[in-house]
Amino acid sequence: MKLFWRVFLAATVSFTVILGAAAVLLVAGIRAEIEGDLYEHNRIATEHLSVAIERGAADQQWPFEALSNTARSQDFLFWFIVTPEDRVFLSDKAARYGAAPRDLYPSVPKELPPGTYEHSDKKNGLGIIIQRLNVRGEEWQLWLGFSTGEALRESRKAAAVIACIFLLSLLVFAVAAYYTTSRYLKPLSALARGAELIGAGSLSHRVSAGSGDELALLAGSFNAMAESLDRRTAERQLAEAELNRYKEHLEALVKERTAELERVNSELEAFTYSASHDLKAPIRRVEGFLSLVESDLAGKVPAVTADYIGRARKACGQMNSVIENLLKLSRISHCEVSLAETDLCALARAALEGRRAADPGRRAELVSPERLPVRGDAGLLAEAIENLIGNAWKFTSLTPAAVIELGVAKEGGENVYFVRDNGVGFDAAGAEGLFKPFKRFHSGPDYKGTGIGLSIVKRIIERHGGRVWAVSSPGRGAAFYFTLGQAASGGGLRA
Amino acid sequence: MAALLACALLATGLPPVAAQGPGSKTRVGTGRSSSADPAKAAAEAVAEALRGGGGKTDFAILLANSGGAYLEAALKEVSRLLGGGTPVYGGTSDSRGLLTDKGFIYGTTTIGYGFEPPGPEKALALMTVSSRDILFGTGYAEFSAAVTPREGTRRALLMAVKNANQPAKRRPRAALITPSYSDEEAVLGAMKDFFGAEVPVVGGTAGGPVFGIIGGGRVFVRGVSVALIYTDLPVGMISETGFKPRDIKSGIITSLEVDGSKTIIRGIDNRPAWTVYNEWLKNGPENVLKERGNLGAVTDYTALNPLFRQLSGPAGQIYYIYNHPLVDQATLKDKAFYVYARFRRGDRIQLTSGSWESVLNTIWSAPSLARNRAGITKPVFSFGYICAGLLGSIPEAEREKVHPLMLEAARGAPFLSGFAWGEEGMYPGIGNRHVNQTVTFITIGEK
Repeated sequence: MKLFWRVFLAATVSFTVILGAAAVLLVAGIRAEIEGDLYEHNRIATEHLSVAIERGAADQQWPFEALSNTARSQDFLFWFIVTPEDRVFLSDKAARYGAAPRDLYPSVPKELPPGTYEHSDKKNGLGIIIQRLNVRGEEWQLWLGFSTGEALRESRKAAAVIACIFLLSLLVFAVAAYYTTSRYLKPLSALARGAELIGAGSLSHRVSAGSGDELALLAGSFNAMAESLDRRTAERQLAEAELNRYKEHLEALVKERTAELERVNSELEAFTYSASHDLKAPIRRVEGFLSLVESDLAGKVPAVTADYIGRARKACGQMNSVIENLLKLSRISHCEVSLAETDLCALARAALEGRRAADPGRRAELVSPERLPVRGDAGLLAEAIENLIGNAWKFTSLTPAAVIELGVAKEGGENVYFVRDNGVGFDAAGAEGLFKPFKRFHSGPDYKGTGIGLSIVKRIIERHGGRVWAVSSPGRGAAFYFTLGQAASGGGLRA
Repeated sequence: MAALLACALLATGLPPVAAQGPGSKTRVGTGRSSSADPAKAAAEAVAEALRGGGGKTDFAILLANSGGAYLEAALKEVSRLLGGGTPVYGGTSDSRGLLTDKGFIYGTTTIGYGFEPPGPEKALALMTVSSRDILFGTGYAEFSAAVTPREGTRRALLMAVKNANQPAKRRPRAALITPSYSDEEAVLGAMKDFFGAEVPVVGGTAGGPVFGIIGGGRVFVRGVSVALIYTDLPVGMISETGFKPRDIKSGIITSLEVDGSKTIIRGIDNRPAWTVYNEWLKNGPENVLKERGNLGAVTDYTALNPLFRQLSGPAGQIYYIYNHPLVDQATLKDKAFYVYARFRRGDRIQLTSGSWESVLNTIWSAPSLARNRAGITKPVFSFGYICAGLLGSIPEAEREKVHPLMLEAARGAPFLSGFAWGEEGMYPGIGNRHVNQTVTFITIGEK
């Protein structure tokens, strides 16, 4: 609710409550006064009549006309002259002659206090004044009954008039309050509007200071604040512009460096590919020729020569593998990734079967769930699993009861897949370059390899938006963990 | 028994009215009826009166608001029911009604004077008295060309004395009279001739327009009925009015004309009398005539503004004799008015005025004054006449007050009052006078 309406309503409600209370008190006072006047009027009338009756008692000259005139008053109900035997001697109505007055008005007590008695019967809107009379030495009574309903009607009229005045006053007050509140809150409205404009960015906006009251001071303070804000904003904008210039320069620099890096990387990859491709054919030819030499010279050359030729052929084969892997790594970096549901367990079982077929004498157990579906490129994931299973197969070759485990665990709401073995393990402290090409932790005839497999795994996992890491210690097996990112790990953990 | 009575008469010179002693008792009853059937009305009134009167009566007063055949039939039935020998005195009252200790009995509440109830608006009231202490002697006379009012009254008085079985020289304590309208002065003159000026009269002129006077078991229109009262019981009488003289409005009668019992006043201070009277009242009577259009309304108005003559008694008493100014078409044409009283050229007449309040208080106070004058503490009964004009001057809404006031004044004893067209009363030191606008009452009390 706007301040204007709050101030206006508060003033109007306060005025209404105060004026209403005053009106109620006034009406109550008027009613009491009207009733008081009514009783006073009738008491005076009763006293006058009583005096006239008592004076006339000796010679029977009673004020019948005055009694009759009493009956003409607007609020008159009855008059009785009551005998000492408590019977109505005379009344304004002949039908009441001889009646017991308290039979007609039972609310009047039998025993009356000394002096003039004023009886009020609010339930019936009735007032009775009873005056004792000395009639020829006997105690008679004059009863004068009147309706207090007229007082009520008069007070209602007064209440109606007061209500009209009240409403009129309220209307006048409301108009005045509206005008005054508008006038005094206009500077505040201007301030509010100014604050809105400044909040919207019009920092040059200023409000009128007006005459020298508190609102003018407030307007002055507001303008000073706006001035300060305007100045500081200008300074900040200057600083931001400077910063932007630095940022743009930095971005340009980064872009330039990135482009250069990409260019170098591309050139390097192109070089790697070309070199690998270009190296592959000569090596095949060397191996081919070495094969021909070996078959031509079989049995014709000394064993040492034959061994040299054999080693040369093996070296060619190894180089060929390195080149193949390098080419593979290069292709993986550029190939398109096609996501589809792929069962990692099936891939693992296939990889292990391949190893078993190549080395039937080896025994290694695969522990895995029945299925481990993921969303990923089936070919790339098969290559990654092939390398990880191959790794485990290789490094458990000396383990009597080799166990290779494929599974998934939930970590921080993310599926973390793992391939774990109980092989020789390695020292994790030096595993920083584990996923770099040609990095090897074990050498020797038992652990042959090109040193590119884990690089291929890393590149494949990264192409899926995931990450890969290893946990191991020497003699206690190794565990390779990887994630596949949001898009590729749709299979979730079901094991 | 006759010998004993003769001895007593010789010893005292006068016969005792009644045996006195612890056994003496007076029983009075009143009855009333508004039945239009005169026989039924009589039966109701007699039954009620006899209940209060102990079932017997020596004397009865019968008043009715209507004369003619109704009163004749009623009287016949009353006489039959009371026994043929019971003397019945009375006559017609004003058509407005009658008053007893039991309350008003209305004929019609609004119309008086010239109104004769044609239909059911009948009112009849009866008082019966049975007493060893009071002796009533009744007489009557019907006036005619051959019997003048004076002669007729003399005859009636002789009859009454005879019926009371009293010597002529014994004066009764009081006389009730019902003279015919306009014969009052002659009747009073005859009474003065008969008894002297000392026998007080309580009289009420029969109301009309169909006048009826009861006497000798008959109803007649013109004449007089008399009831003489002999008793040793205290007797109080009063003749009062409710008006106060205003000497600032007075004049000398300079022209008048006597027409039978009427005195037509034609001139006051050598000007037309009706014009002078209207000037005194700021043209009030003429205004009433214009506004109301009937002479009855004028009569009610003038009832509260009567004229009076001042009389002085030998002991210095001052009395005001009121007369009700009346008009008819003939006097209006001559700008004159008439009264039923004897005025002479050169008399000073004064205007007086009253109010219904003063009238009401007078009606209330009159029986009390009568009682007090005689030192009566325990009234036996009261009887009298209230001027019909006075009753008419009291607003209808206030008339009901007359009954409780009179009952209080009578100390609850039985009373009967008619509303007369003229009143006759005693003014001590002056004698009996025919007046208007007056309440005249007699009260008899126990010793």
